[in-house]
Amino acid sequence: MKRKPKVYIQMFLSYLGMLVIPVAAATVIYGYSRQVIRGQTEKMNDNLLEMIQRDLDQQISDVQKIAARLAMDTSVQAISKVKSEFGTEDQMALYYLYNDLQSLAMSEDFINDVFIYFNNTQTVCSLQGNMSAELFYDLYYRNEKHSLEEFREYMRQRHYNDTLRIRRENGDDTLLFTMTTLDSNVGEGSATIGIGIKFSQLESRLSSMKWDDSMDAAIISSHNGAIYPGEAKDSIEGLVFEELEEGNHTALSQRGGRCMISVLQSKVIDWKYVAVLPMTLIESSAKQIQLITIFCLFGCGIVGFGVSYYLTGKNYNPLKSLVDTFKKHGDKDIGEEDNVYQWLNTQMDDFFKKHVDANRLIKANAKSLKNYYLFQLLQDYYYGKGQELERCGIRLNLDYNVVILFEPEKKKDMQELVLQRFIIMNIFGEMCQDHFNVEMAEMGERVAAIINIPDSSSEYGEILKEKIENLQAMAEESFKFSCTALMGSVCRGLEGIHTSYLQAAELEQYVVILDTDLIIYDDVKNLQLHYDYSIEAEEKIINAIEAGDSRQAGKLMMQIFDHNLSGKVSADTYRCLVYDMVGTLVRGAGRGGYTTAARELDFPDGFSMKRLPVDKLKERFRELLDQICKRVQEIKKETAGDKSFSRKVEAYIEENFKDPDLNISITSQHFDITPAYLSSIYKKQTGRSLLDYINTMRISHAQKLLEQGYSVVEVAPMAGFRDSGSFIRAFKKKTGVTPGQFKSKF
Amino acid sequence: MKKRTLSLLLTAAMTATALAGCSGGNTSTPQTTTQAPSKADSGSSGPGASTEGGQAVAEAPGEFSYPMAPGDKLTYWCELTTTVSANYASLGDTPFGKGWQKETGTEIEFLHPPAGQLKEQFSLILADGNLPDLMEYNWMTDYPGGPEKAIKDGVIVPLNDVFEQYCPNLTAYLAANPDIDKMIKTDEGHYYVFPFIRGESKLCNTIGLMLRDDWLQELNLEVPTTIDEWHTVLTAFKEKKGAAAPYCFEYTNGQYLNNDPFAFAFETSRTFYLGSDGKAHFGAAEENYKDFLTTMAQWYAEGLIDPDLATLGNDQVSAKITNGTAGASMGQAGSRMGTWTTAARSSNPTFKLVAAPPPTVEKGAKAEFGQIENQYSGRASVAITTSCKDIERAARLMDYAYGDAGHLYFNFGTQGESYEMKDGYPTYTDQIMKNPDGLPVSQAMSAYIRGNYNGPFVQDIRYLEQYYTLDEQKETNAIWGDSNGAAHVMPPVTPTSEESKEFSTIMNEINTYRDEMTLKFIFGTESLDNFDTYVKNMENMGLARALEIQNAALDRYNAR
Repeated sequence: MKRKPKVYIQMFLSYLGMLVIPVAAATVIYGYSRQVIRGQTEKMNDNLLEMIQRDLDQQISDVQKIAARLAMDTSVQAISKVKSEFGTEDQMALYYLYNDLQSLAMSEDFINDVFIYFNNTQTVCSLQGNMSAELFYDLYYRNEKHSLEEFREYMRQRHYNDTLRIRRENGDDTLLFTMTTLDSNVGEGSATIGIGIKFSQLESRLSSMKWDDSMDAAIISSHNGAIYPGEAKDSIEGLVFEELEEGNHTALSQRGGRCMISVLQSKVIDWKYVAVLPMTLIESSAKQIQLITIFCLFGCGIVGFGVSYYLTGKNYNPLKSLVDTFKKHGDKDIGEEDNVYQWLNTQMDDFFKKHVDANRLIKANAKSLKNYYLFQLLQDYYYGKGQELERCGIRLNLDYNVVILFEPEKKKDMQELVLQRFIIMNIFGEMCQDHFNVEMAEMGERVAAIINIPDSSSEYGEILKEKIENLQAMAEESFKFSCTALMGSVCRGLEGIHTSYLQAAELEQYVVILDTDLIIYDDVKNLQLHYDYSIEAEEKIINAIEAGDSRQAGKLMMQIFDHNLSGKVSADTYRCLVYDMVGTLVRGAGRGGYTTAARELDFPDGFSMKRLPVDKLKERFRELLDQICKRVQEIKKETAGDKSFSRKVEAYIEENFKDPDLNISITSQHFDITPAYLSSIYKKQTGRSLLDYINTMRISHAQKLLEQGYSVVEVAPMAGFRDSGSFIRAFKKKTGVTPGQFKSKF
Repeated sequence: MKKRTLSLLLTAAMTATALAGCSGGNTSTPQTTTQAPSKADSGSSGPGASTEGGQAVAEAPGEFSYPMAPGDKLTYWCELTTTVSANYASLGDTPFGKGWQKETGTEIEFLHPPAGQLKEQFSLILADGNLPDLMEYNWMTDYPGGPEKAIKDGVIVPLNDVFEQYCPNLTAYLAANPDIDKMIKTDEGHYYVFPFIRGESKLCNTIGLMLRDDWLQELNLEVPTTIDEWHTVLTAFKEKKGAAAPYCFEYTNGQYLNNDPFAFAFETSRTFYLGSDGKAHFGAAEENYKDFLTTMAQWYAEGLIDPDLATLGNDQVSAKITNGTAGASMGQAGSRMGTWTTAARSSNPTFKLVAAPPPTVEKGAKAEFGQIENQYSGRASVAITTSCKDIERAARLMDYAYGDAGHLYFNFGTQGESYEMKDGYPTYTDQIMKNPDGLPVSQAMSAYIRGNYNGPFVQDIRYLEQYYTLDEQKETNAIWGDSNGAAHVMPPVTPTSEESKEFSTIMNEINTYRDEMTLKFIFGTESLDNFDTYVKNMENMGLARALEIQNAALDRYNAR
């Protein structure tokens, strides 16, 4: 592995640092447990010692009482005064004393032996009988440590609550409490009372205290040293009466190791009861805890290390990858002493400085892009992939789509328009997104909503209708504007969006026609082309226009409109009707001589496909009609005089057309004007050429003649033609057939 | 089956008699249907007879056999005899105690009073009320008020039903030994203990005088037979052998005092004896006793008797006999003569004790009085206390000893370990006779058996035949038994509980006074001139009434 960065190490160390907590806790717990164990042990030792003290003190005080009683017994004192040897007279006293001892010892199972050593006579009065000291010693107290002489010597000395331990070879182990008679006469004439208790009694009582084999109990006497245990023991050795302090749980170093020592002073004798407890015992208890603690710590350590390592890795890796990324794209490397965070911070700052603008742009563009895509979808057939759209945030993953166009009421204020569009987009988008996937886009002044639905069932239509109505109601109520909704049909696929859009757009025409806020393509598409405008009706209108009778013409025209624009009307019908009407107006104007009407009245402006409600349309037509008729009448007045001249010309021609010489020159001569002027005035007044009129007269007369049975040759001079050839040419030219052909028809 | 019927009939008959003689009382004795009695061989005794009966009855309760199924632990209180306590702290530690528990399938916790404090501890236990299940004691003589009182006090349970139901062995033995059956029940017909029975009369004279034969030889003296001869011998011991206490015996042992051969020599006893008139007599209040005391006082004054006499116990006596401070003593052939001889010979190979016959005042006369015990003395007999929860278990435990196997076990121990059967004779092994640990025979025996001292079983003479290893011991039966003593031994009479209380109250006082005065007379601190006053004092204490009670009891006993 590569050199770990400082931060990694720091992170790892900080995790590991948390392991200090269990270590500290464990240490405290261990220390406390140790204290508790020690405290409990001390308490236990104290209690046990107290028990022992109470028990032994009771027994010993009994022993002392017996000893004291005997020491003060006058008969004992009397017997002790007897010199050298007992006489028969003393035997009874001794017998009584013996009985006395029997009764004393009987109630005390603690007491093993009671005897009185009479110093003067060297005799002993004991539970076992009265006998010489020698025999008594031999029978009951012979031991290696104290010879008979020493025993005698000891008994001769003065004692008060003394103890002497005598261990016989046969195993009898006796602790002897001794007390010398308490009479005033000090010296030879004394007796010493010995009360023996079996050492095993002490032992059993003391060992009952031992709650653990390794602990020791001891009795330390002020001047005899250790009374119990008898044999030297490492743990007891060296304990000095004076040094043992009650209630002080001192720890001493004995030969057997460190020990805790509890001491209790006897209340009746200068003994101290001692419990010696090896520290190892406490420690072995503590050791258990220690072991568990260490084990747990070790576990904590292992787990903690693992967790730390894992967490460090887990938490550092993102940092590392960040650093790596910056390293890869940046040219700066982390300095040896640099903190990774600081470094990253700097890098980040740089990065963001660089990229923040682009980012912002992208964000802004995202909306535009979306709009662009939506626009594309609506405006053109889309065969791309859904994912491409989704990338721009357009979600149209269901199979069917419907496009609804909202057209807010026209307002001049641009800002208000923007607001309205905004309102529609948001409200409708919000209303529908619970049910459908909706994408809203502004299409110029309109707002387009693409509704994405799973199938083409009609229930969606119902829901949509309801939504649209809600929207309109809301717009009306809350925002005081109205808007028209145009809904295309449900189309399959993304390419269907365009189709639906076209349909919706197409519906715009119906807005005027249907006069409703909501137009649905499916409702409209089935309307039949119903159109009824006959030539006769048109002729009537034209004639009326020609006549300049605007009232008549208007009446007729309105009849046509009403006839065709009643009920549901398809846009096509409407369009045709408007075109036809415009044509009628132009022709009527032409007939009436107002040939420039089409140019002057600016039809395209007035009847562009821009919607006009039917009422307005009608009004517009009426206005036009009035203007045309007025103009026609004016023209009629202008041309009324000139007409009589052309009539005179025509009358002249009717009289003279049989004359083959009649021509324009002759006619002009007749009227005294130049042939050219004549031609132009005639044309001006009638609209046709004079030559044409002459020929027409001649051909029509010829036709009559031919019908009457005249031959072509005959007809030609009769009809004013110089020869039959020119007649035939002119006839054919005018009618299209030769005169023979015409004649043969009949 | 016939024998069992007989025993039941006998029991019933006796119960009827007892009931007739006793007004009211308890009537919880079993009533059995009467059947024609068949003749029993009352003359035969010993294990043979009991075995037969035991086997026959053992079948009756239905397939019962030892060891029993494990059950409650039983507590058993008894005195630990010195030959056991020398080596064991408890009877339960001995091979005998362990084996007994194993054989019977019963766990026993043995309780022992401290040595020498049997009666005191017994009183304490009764006062405490926390009774062991089984208590081995002399219920006949040492329970205040007697055994009938013990039953009435609710201390022990009457055993008639118990014997019948659970004790086929003992029942069979009693059926075969009607004279013993007579001894071990109260006048009311209640059985109250599992008795210690000496199987033969030979076993009944066990205590007698003994003295240093080697000294006699050395001093050229004969074994003394009269008081005078004894005086001569003791004087010689004192003067020639330097014995500070020529005659020294265990004065604190009541059994010895009751059977003091020197008192017997004056045809008296310190206690009750059966007079030639068939009446009970209190020896210590009679003129013969004064003669005895006179002699004793004289001897004491002459230094022929241990000056420490009053408080002599076995330890001192043993020490003094073995170290030559004393030359004569008294006691049993086994635990005293045998033990002392063994002990002394280690330092003095010539040491020899010899039994002395019951002394007489007149030379050559046949001793009228002598030590002989009843086959049933009341000692070491076990009662079941009212604290016992599992009486059947306790009874079966005790009955074991009276059966064939138990008899051998109590007398000879474990076959292959403490004895071998040689030609049908149970012979002790060297484990007993030549103990590898050097124990005296008495102590070795005590580890394995109870046959050498006492206990709730029938003692077998064959133990004694082997126990006495020394020739001088083997002589003792003949020497000590050479008296008409059996005629003067009080049978085990039982006063009624009412009488018993009165009797014991009187006798406690009298005995204490007697013992004190006896010592005073012997020590010479009280003149024998005052003997009459002494007797008068005892009479004032109610001696006449005590005798009356004793005689009444005797009458009843004779009427059993």
